[in-house]
Amino acid sequence: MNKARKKFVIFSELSVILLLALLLTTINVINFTMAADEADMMTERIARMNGSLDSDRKIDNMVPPPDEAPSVTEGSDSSPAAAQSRSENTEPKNNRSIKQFRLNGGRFDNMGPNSPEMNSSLRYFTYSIDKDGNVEKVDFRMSAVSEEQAASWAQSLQNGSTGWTNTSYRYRVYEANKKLYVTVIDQSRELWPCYRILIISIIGGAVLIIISFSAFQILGRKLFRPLEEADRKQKQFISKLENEFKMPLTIINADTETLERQGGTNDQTKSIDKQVRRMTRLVKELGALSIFDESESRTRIDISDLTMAILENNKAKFEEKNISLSIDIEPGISLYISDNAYKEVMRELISNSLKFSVSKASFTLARHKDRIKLIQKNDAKLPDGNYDQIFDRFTMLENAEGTSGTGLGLAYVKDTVRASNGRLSAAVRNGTMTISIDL
Amino acid sequence: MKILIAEQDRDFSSAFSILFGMDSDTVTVVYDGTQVISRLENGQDFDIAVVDESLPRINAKKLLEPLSARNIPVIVLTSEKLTASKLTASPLANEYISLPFLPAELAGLIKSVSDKKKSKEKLEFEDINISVPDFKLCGSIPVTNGEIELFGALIRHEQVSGKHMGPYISALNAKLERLNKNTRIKYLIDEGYRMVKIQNE
Repeated sequence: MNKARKKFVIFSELSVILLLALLLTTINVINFTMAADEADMMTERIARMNGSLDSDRKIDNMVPPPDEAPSVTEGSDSSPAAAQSRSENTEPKNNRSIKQFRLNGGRFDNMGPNSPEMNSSLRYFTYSIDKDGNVEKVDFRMSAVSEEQAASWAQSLQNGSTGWTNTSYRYRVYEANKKLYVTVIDQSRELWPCYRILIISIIGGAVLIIISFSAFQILGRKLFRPLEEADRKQKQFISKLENEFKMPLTIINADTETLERQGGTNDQTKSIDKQVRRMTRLVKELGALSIFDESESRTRIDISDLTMAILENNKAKFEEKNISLSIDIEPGISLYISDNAYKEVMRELISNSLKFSVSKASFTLARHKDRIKLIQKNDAKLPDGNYDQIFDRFTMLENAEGTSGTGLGLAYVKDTVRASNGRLSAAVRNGTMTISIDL
Repeated sequence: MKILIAEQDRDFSSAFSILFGMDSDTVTVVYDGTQVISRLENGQDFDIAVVDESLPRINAKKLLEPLSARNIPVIVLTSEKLTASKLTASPLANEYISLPFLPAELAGLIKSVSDKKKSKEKLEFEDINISVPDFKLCGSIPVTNGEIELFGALIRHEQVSGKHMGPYISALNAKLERLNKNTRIKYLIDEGYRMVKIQNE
């Protein structure tokens, strides 16, 4: 049950991590892509102005920002209309890209990459390179690098087209006047918010993962508590039942024998005797189940030897039923397990195979990677499919009708195997029943 | 034979006193630990005592000493499964029987234990010996009836069933280890359980 809870926490946590990663990655990818697009728009503008914004700046400076300066031409009424008319006035002199920001009646004139404030604050340089490789300065408005550094920087970029260089600089290479122009603009101010969002995403994501992890653990405990409680109660009930039955059964046994001795055996005493024996067997099997809760001492035992010994001890039973038994045991496998628990597991596997086998049964014990595989096969007359339910308490397969059993043997096997962190499965394929135990 | 049954459950006591009474045994029934002590102090003698592990007032463990002081062997009734650790825990008990059981099983144990008390046999195998009437291994460590049976069967090269004798095999092996003997009971594939010499590690 503890395992189910762990699984729940792990899977919930994984899905949260996945979703968070998806969301935050998308946000940041979009953010950086948009930053690149904006930078490209600027370099494109510079490129259209043949590498320098000087002429362009003059035009832009003539247009006053609509909210600050009063309109010269239209008077003092509503600014959208005024702005629009102003924009229309300057339109013929301006280039095409400005038009995109004249939407909404020119309200965004002083915003975005083409605004006059942007142009004046833009840090960039443009160098031209002719066919002979002579580098010539076109415009230089930057303080972080010297003109010489800029020249060699431009030279190193001449084989590219557009992209990021030196983290926060965007460059564009284009041809004009039969020369190669390289424009590099500084975007550190524009990129800084992007990086800030990235850092916030990483830290925020980590914090969310930690918070959700603790939340899932608390939730898991709450959700699984009733189930764990039910499981514990079932075990407690079985063990109580078992103890409550022991004394009465012993007494009935003694009384029956007294009756038989006094009045001789008859059908009734025989029947009582038979039923009491049946119940005694059931109680003993319940005992095997509940003993398991008191964790028995585990030691390192050679299970190859032990398995062999147990199978040899039981060979006669298989011979009696004309079942050919094949044993394949890899020698020298040792395991840290309770000696008695392993013997019980083997006993149950043997009694199970004796019940279901028609003519063949096999036991295999082998190392498989870091696990130990114990496989029991027999030719059960059962339809193909998964039979994991046989490990549940009081579950008996239909074929087992008529054969004696309590439906507890394999439940004990499951409890034992699970307690040593093992796995087990049961299935029928092509008429062969396989019970596989990974220890 | 004089049998003392100390068990809280009156139905149990009456059922077994009637049953054993048929075999001309004298069965004395008591229901708690103080009654056991008072019977003993009154000078009553028993050939064997069957004592429930969870007897009220004075439990079975505390009764073991006064009983063994009067040389009365004890069979302990337990509702737990028999394990090696249980067999080695309280050394004065001569035998254990787990509920539920058939009357014949208890009768068999009573006979087996009281017979051993009367015998003068000493079982020997190499440097190991069990003094049967004393229930002692090599003169010092107490052993149970089952361990003596096991040891005897091994000396006589009889087949030993691991299923029934499992806890006794483990218990005896533990006691041999405590005595620093280098003989252990092991399962040999062709022969079954045998006493074999082990290499000192």
